Amino acid sequence: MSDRELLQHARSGEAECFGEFYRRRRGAILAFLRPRVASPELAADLMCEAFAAALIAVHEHSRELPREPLAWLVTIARNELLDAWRRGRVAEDARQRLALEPVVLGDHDLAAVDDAAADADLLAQLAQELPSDQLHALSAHLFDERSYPEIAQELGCSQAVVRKRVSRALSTLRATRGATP
Amino acid sequence: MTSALDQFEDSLVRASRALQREHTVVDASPGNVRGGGVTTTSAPRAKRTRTLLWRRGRRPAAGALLVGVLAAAGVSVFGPTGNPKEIPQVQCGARGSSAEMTGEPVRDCATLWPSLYHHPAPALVAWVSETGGVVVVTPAGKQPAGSGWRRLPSGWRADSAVLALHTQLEDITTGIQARPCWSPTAASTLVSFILRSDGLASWHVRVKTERANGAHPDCLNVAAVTGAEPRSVLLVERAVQEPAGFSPSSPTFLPSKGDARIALVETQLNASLKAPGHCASVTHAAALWRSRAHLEHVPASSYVLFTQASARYRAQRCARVLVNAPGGGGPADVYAAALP
Repeated sequence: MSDRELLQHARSGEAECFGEFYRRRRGAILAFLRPRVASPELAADLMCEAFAAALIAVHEHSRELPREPLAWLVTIARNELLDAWRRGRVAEDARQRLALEPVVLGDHDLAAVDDAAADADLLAQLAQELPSDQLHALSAHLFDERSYPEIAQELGCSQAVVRKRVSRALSTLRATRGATP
Repeated sequence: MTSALDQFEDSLVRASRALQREHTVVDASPGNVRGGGVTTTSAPRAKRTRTLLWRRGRRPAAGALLVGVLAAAGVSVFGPTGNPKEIPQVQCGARGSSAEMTGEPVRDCATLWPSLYHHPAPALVAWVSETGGVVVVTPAGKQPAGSGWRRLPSGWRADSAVLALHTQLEDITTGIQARPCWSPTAASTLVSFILRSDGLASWHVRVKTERANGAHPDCLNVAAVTGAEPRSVLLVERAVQEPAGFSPSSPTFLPSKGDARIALVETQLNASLKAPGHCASVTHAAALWRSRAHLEHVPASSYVLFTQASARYRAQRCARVLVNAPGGGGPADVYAAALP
């Protein structure tokens, strides 16, 4: 089931589908947040608020569901981060609205947050080592989950060129990591 | 063993069930006026002069244009009876800047002054325009250009919730949440949600449709202007040509190539800032940004650099850089700061 389908089912009453969406995308959001904040606790705090805000939005029935939920979720997380920078604290508005209990993190959770950060380190490393065109194509395809035709249209090149850039980027990734995924 | 993050999933599922029971659908039916609700009216096709796209108050000209155009259109932003607490933007000096930290314009502009003008802040005073809508902070002894400015008393504070609201509205209009197309219902719902989140539940959202020839009927920009009437947000729809490559349901803002380059510098710089044993101060991070941006051929005119988001971060260590690219050709906000 796609992310969008999960959100559609959640909206129509299958609450577990939002749980599945959270389970599936929790790591990506932590990977996005962790390198940008000072502690794993703060990253987890922002992540929880972002998912709570997303849940509220999913149940706003007059609101269109995002076509690319992961990109949408990252946007929400980024906004939470910007708000935290501006206000000097992580917002709790969405969690308070939903009456969610505070999350008390244990060592296992903190380790999980930092595991996600390790993936972000890899992306940052790629950003330093890859030409910008390859990085753009790779992140658009893997992280934003956009199709080759969409990326090609945006970059103004053929699908073959996009595929080549992604392929080269992945080759660099394998060489950098010394592993064969 | 079930971790706390796993348990949060259960909490979300329970909350989802509760929301499903609530069925809290914002009433967007025409003519419905109530606290936090939405009203919709239609305007004649030719009336597009009130279409405004305001950005966080970096440029005083934008604020002046906003007030001026509305005045020319016969609309007072706040009007003589408007609540001066409903100030949408505070501008620091001639260049202007958003100042939404404490809500006290003089204090906040004094904090931002070194980032904007590269010298310590002088003694500052705050002025409000006769029609309300904008506060300009100037060095003592100077006055904003033009007439109709009234000096605000020392220690005057704006409503920080309203300042925050305006930042969020800007994010919808031109910032991180901007879309190439907004439907009136989607924008109204989002703004209503923001109002509730900001504790401004008594505020209203009003939508004015302004259709123009050649526009896709479901592909509309929304310009948010607050204060057209007390405790209200006016969403003025501006019909535009359908952007190439977008469908009306496109949910995300796609950055321009310039924004993408700035984002790349952000990624690269933060990668070096968090290298083992590397802990840069906010000032150092800002200097690194300038040099890296220069190396990457990012023109200084394409961004505005803030060396702290709040004075309280000065004592923090290990800074990072965060970029908020507004899109639409405007300069990006670059924050060099550290979270506690």
